[in-house]
Amino acid sequence: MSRDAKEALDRRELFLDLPPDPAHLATARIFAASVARHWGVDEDSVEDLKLAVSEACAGAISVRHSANSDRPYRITGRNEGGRLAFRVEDGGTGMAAAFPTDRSVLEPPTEEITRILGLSLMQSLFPDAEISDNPGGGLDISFSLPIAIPA
Amino acid sequence: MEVIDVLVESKARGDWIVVTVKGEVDVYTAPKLKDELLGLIEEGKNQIVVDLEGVEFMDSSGLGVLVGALRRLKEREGTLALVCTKGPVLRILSITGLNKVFPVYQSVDEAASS
Repeated sequence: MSRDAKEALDRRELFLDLPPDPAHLATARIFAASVARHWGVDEDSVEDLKLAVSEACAGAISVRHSANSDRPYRITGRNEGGRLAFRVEDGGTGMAAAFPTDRSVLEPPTEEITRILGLSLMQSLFPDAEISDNPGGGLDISFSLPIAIPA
Repeated sequence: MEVIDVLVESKARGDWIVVTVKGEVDVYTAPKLKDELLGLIEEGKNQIVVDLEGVEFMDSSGLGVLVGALRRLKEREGTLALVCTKGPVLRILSITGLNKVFPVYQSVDEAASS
């Protein structure tokens, strides 16, 4: 690892801006996994994190496509001392539409199944997962997990 | 830049069609699996086993494809079985309870002889 990269990882917060293109979802997962491993997250939790990040980023991409926007979305990992908090920021029109919570639909299309499952999965893996208002506009998805190395 | 892809191959095995999936299944790659399964169903194949042993990652987009295919097959009195014994895919099936919805086998041999 280069000195610059090492210094970057020693910071308390790292972020990555990605274009709203599903082809970059693997990059988002690799970024999140690398941040988590650096701060001592165990491998089982890293796998859970990759899944939650993939769901959140897919939601951000869905929102961007709905708004016909190619503006990047942001994924941030922040060491909060004992916990590692991740956030995916839409920063624009909001993500609520990407994760409908109405479970009353008996025969939803496949896309609807996927989105309902996506939100359920995030909340199952990380009970503190929430979709919240972003003061800068739009909505955020955030969740956190314990880390082995305190800040 | 990390290149992700998924490899999807199908072959006949007795009364079953075995669909072998390898790689990562997410929003980007799930359409490839969807096209394969829907193509088989449109051809009239109604006993399909999807071998997920080579899948390193799958999110809800992959599950959505599997659930959609299962629903179409059930309308035709068909079956969609899965082969999955380990790793992140087994975990996501367990978390969602879909391991109770799909017949899940330890191997293609076990599925094909069911």
